[in-house]
Amino acid sequence: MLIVLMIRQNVVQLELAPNLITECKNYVQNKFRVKNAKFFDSEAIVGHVYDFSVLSAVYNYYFQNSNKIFIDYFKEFLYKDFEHISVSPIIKKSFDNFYKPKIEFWEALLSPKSKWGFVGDPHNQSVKIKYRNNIYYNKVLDYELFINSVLKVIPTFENLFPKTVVKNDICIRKYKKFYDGDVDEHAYYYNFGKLLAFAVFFRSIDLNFENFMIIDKATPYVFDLEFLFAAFEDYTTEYTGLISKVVEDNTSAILGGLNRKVYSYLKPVVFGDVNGKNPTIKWKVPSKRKLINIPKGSQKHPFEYIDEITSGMKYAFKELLNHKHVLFELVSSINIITRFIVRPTRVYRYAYLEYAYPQVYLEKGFREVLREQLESIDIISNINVSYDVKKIVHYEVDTLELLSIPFYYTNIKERYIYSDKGDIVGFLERTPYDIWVDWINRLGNGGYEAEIGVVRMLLKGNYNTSAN
Amino acid sequence: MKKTKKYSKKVKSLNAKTGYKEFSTKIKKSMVFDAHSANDTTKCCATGTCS
Repeated sequence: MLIVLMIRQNVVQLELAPNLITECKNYVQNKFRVKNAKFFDSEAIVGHVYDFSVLSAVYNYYFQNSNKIFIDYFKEFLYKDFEHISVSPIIKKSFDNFYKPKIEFWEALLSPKSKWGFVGDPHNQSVKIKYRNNIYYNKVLDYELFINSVLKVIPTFENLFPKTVVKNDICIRKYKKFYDGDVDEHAYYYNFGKLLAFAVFFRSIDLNFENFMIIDKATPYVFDLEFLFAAFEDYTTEYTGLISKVVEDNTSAILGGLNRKVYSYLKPVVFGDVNGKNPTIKWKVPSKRKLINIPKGSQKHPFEYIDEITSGMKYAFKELLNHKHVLFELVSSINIITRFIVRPTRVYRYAYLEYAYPQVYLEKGFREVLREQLESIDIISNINVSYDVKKIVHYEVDTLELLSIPFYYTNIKERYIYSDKGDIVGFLERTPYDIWVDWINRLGNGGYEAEIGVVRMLLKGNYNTSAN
Repeated sequence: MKKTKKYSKKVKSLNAKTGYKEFSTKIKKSMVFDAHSANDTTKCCATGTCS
C-alpha cells in the first residue's frame, strides 16, 4: 500500500486516496457492467466515481460530526448514500449514453479474447482503446496518413513516430513501452533535436511529457500528433510542448522529469490524521509522475548536450527544407484535418469538478454551473479568429454534461473551425495552410537558425534557474 | 446574529476541509490561459489519471 506522509503545521497526514480509489474500483465493477464484456474498469469511469463521491463524503463526514475512520465512512457512503445525491445521475447518464455504447461498439468490432480498456481523454467521436499490444481509435482527423506519407519521403524521422494503419476508419498502432535501460545520451539528444525540428516545421503543439517517451537507448518518440499546422500568430519552438524553460510545472518532453517540481492540480487528494480520521482535501500536491522522461540514471541537465541537440536540429531542418517542394506538393494534394485548440483541456475538467461540490450542487444545476464556468474562463486568444462564443459554450455544456471532452478540428485549407458535431463555431482570418506556407518560407530564409537559438535560450534558462 | 456567526464559521471550516476554498481560488487562477503554454492542455489530463 502506498502511504504518503505530509507534514504540515506539525501534524502528520496520511494520504488516503489509494484506498479510496480501490473502493471506487469495486463499486464500478458492481454497478457499471456491460453484459459479457471483456472491458476492464477504465480509469476514466473509476475516476469520475471518485471525483463525484469523495467531495460529498468529506463534506457529509463533518456535517454529521462523524468520528469514524474515513475509509469505513466512505465505503458506507458509497453504497448507501451516493446514489441519492444530485451528482450520482450524472455518472449514470454518462455511462448509459457515452461509455456503454462505446464499450458495445468496440466489443463487437474486436471480439476481444482478453481484457481491454479506454486510454486517454474521452471524446464524442473518438476514444482510444488498449487491447493486447495495440492502440485502436476511430479516425476523426487525417494526420496519421499524412505523417506516414512524410516519413516515406524523408525516412530519417521514421523511428520518432508511430506507424499507424488505417482500416475502415479505425486507426491502429503498436502500443510502445517506456524504455528504462541505459541510454546513449549523445545519440538520444541528437535525435531529440531532429524531433524538435520536425515538430516546429509542421507547427505542432501539445507534445508534452504525456505524449512522449523514450523507446530505446537512442530514440525519443511522440505518439499523439493531433495538433499540426497550428494557427498561433506568435508560434515558436516553445509551443511544441517538447521544451520549456520554466522550473515549476515544467511538463515538457525534454525536462518534465528533471526539475521534479511538477504538481497535480485537478485530482482531489484526501489526507487523514494518523488514525485515518479527520479527512481533508488538497488539490495542489506534488505529482506522483508515472513517467520519467529523461534518460534513466542521467544526472546531467539536457543543456549539457546542447551541441548534440542543435546539430540534430540543424541536420533535420536542412533535410526538411531540401524536401520543401515535395512536402508542399504533398500537403497541397491531400485533405488534412487537424485538431484545433479552443481551450486547454484542464478548463473542461475544472468546470465539471466544480459541480462535484455539495456547496455548489445544493444551490445550482449542472448545466448552469458548466455554463457559468465556461463563460467566466477566457478562450485562447492569440489566434486571429472570430468565434461564435454562444455556440461554443452551448456545445461544450452539452458535451461536458456526459463527462466527455469537447473536441474541435479544422481542415487546413479552410478557414472554418468545427465542433465534433460538425457545427461551424469559428472563422480563422487565414487558413492554417497559408500560415504554414509563410512559416516554411520564413524558416528557409534563416528562420530555422532563430528557432535553434530559441532552444538554446530555453534550455540555458532552465539550466541556470535550476542550478540556483 | 450569534447564529449567523456560528453558521458562517461552520461554512468556512467546511470549505477549508473539503478543499473548496483552494479549488475556487488558487486552482481557478491556474486555469487562466497562459499564451506561452498554449501546448499545456494538461496541468492534468481530463481524467486526472496523470497525477
